[in-house]
Amino acid sequence: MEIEFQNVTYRKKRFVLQDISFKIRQGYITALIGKNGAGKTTLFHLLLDKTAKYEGKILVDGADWKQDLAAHMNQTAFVSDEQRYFMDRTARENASMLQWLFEGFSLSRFQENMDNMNLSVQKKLCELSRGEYLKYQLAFGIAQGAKLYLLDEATAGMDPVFKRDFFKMLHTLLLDEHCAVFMSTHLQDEVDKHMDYIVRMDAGRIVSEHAAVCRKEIGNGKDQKI
Amino acid sequence: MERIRKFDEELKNTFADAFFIARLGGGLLCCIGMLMMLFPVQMASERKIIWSMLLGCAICANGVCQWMLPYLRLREGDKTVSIYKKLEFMPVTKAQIRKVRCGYLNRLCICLGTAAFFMQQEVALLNHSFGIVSVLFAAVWAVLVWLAGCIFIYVR
Amino acid sequence: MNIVISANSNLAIYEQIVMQLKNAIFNHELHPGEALPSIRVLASSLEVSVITTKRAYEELEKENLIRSVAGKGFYVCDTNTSYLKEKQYVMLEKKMAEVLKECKNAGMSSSEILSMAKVIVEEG
Repeated sequence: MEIEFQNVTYRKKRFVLQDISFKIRQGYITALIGKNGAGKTTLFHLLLDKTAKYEGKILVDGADWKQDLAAHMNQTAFVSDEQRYFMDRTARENASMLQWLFEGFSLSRFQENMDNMNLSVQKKLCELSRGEYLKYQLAFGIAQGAKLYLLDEATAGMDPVFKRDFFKMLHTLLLDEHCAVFMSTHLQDEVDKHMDYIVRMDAGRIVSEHAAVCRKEIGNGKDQKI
Repeated sequence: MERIRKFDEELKNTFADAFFIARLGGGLLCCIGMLMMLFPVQMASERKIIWSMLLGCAICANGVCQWMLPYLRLREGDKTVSIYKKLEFMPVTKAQIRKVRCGYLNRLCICLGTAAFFMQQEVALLNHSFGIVSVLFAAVWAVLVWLAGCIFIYVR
Repeated sequence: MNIVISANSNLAIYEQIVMQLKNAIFNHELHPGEALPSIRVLASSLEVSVITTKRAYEELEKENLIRSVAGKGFYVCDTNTSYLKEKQYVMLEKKMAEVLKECKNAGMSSSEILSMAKVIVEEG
């Protein structure tokens, strides 16, 4: 699933995204970098808001995002700190309820993913640590059959071991080359190591978009992007 | 729509206590409200009876809203959250969710309305005052209760 | 064959991969015709981005050390590795000569240069 933004302008309350154009490429991890308030979360919400009104075009594999919105939403997973699940209920209960809203949600796959991540489905979501909650959301997204994973500052505050696990899961997801990962981060070392494409954002605008292969200038340790 | 209904089935299982309380409370209120239907509307020439009948309608409307509440708002921790908010990023629209809830409301109101209608006509017959007025009254009563439910679904 | 990515290296990640794979080919740890892991599998195992491993393989392909077979992946080329190794040694000798010249110009004595070289080699 490949997403292309073409000159998208979107206003939500007082926040404005201006003339946004970039691609989320299939089979790769695209990083969204920007300071707090740059508009990263607004950009995610734009994709997830079924009633969003915007100028410009958002294309999914060439077709309009808004056309067949339900199918696109079906294949989109959002992983963030936001409490978009029934937090007082267990992971299993959440999956049992929400599975019906998706076409092709696999409860068995969800259980399998949770087992692989060493997470108990019997634990209430509010009792999970931040990292565990994020992993649960990823497991949910995989069980849902999502092709687009939107991660909003998911790795912030994760310990190194957990982060390794998390990225390994993302790489596994991308192995079949049909999925795309779009994640916002402000951690430079993460960007250098794990990200395939980098989109920089500032004050509601896209500042740059390029492939991420760094060449450090030998001797002075400075990063220079090609 | 069918997907939302299946979701609601599981929702009722998961939040069984919330639904039980809502149904119990709502049911009681509806019963109390419907008691007023045991007075033929023709007796409404007496002021007290009019107010009791209106009160009965209001109580029943409240009962209906209580019944519908767990479909709209659920307790989480020490506050309540809107189901629309919880399902905001799911592949179903607010309109679709509302439509399904209106469907439940319609079913409930048809049952209540039918019961109230028959109650009213029964007493009207016994009172020898059966006529278009008693029929209309029961109909208007049911519509008012239904309207209150609709507004509740849209506002909550 | 074990590729190790060092976070402290002056070289970019893809350059480290290129270097280590090159050495593996020269030292016959990788044999001509042997299949290499796919770009994605390598990225996953090294925990780096796919574009990094892609770039590394592209560099190696440019130097005719590996070749890509459509739909199948990357394979080590049947090249005369000793000739390439010699070529690499000549290039490294040239680089060393440049560095040594600069050391001499800076006023370092032979023994100072040798002891500095010893420290760096033992460190690495």
